[in-house]
Amino acid sequence: MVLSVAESAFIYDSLVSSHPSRPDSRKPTQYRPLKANCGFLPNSNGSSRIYNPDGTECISSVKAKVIRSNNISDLINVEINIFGEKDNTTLCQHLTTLIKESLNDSFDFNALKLTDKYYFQLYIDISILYLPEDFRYSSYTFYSILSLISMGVYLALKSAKLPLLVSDKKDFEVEEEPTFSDDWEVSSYLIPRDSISTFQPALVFIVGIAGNTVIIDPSLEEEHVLEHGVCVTWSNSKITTPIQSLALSTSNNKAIKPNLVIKSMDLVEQVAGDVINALNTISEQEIDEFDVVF
Amino acid sequence: MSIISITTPVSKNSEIENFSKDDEDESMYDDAIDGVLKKPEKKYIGIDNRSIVTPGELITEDATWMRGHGTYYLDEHTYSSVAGMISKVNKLLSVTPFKGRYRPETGDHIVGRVIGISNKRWKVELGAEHAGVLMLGAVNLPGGVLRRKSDNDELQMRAILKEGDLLNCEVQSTFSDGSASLHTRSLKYGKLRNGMFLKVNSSLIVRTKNHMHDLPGGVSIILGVNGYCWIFKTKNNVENKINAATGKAESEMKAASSSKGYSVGMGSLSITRLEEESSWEIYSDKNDIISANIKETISRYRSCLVALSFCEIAIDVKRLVKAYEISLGYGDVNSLVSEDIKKSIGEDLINSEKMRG
Repeated sequence: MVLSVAESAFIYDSLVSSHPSRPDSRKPTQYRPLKANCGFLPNSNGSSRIYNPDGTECISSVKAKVIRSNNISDLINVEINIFGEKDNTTLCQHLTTLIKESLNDSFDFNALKLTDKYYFQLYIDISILYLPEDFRYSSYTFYSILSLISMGVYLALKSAKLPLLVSDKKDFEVEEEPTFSDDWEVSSYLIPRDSISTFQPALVFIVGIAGNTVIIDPSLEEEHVLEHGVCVTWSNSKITTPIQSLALSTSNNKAIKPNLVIKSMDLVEQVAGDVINALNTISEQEIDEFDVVF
Repeated sequence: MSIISITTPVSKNSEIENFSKDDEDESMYDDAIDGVLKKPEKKYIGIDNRSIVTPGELITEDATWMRGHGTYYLDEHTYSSVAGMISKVNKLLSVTPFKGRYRPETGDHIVGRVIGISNKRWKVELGAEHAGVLMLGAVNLPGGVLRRKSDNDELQMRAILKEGDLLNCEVQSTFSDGSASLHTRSLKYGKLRNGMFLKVNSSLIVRTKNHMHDLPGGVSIILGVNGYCWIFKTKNNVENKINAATGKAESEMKAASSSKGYSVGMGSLSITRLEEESSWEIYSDKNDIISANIKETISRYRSCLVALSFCEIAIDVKRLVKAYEISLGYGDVNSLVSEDIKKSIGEDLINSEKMRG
């Protein structure tokens, strides 16, 4: 989508004015309505599907495997597949590393520890099923989908269940492979739901900057006129790394002022609580039929 | 008001199922099952009064019908290729689809976006199967003098309209493949400024005599027949004059610098209205100064349009104004983003129309 000069000037002027107004009349802190549910893939430990009104849709699944290793850095594997994009492009690789590193930083690896020798290894597969046509052949970069991806991963991890271990936990001296209970009723959540041992996987927020205005969840039209984008990570109730500047579109980029980075972090602090609550509500809903999702 | 709303998607089937379970009793269910079990008999047009067909459905076995749009012919049988209503004119049989891409018809008032420039023509995206064509000869040239288009004009087509520009125009003629030739040879057509663009499904726009309307609140709208809508600040003639003076001078300067020696109509005294209004100013990219109030009204109208299209209610100006009035009752403009409110605006609108009868 290429906007006309008059059109983008109108949007830009509304964004940078003293009372910023967005083209779809959202507040600077307001998200577009999202649809999501989770736990619908029968052959994975956890799964989620999330999409927004412009059609961008993200499906993620979490699968767990038992490995004999204590190298914590390779316990989480992430793979991102974007519709119409090759796996080895810099974009895919950048998104993959970003998600993986942010998860590694925020994860409580005790949740994955099985016995003294064995760990659960997680394979997180993310698939972007559809992108709006306007994305192609235009000045947009794909970074704005990062926020949707990370919400999808969050939901999938939240809904992931692990089978109950029936063999002995202390196997340091005995040569025994772990065995599990067949009964899924006694399985436990990967991320415990009680308030003591629970933790939040990292959530990435995309903030758009135009003039002195910072907005959350920029839409395509807004990205066209935005001067800058920042991604801010939030986990365990505080802002963490990576905080990165991203070009959301190549049409109107300018340098970024340091105080705007602080401002966008404040914005994330404002909205993060609500986003986490909304996601948690979704992940706690039980799905009884698998095909209800579609 | 909450910052984020995430809901689980509701499949439309389950809603219908629940509905029918409430309304029908057991015996009707049995009937329905019997209906499924029985082999459906072939139905013929003219005998059956059902006029809604689905893709691949047999319309008639009678070979005397002429086959129009939306049908195909196999073994002397005519089938529907789209989901829609059967329409018959004399012996011509066609199916009008419920949804689908816009199909241009001569005389349609539409909004389009320039996507390319080639030999003496602009390619214009209309949301149809093919891009429309706007010939250089079919626009008002700056200067307003009616004259032959010269090579010089051809070289500066980008000064008039460039890629990405929105324009409102009329379909002059259509070609056999469904593509359209456009023209803007009237003062009400031309480049669009001072507003916001929105795309809705073209089947939702009601064809009327006039597609450009002034709405309450100092805002005007062009409801393009192709579903492209433009909401903008109503042109104010007094204000326009002042802007014209500055805008004209500026844009002429720009045009002069971009092409040396182009002088037709530049700085000359205008005699007719055509000359006056079709100066370089009509192709200016600069927006007028728009107050925050007007901007809010524009975005409220936009949200109302989104709500109407969300509820799949056919859009005309009366409904839009009504929806706007209803939306004022929901308070702040950013509350209109939520789906529940969109839905209830649609319901309120339908109820109020029922009340009026």
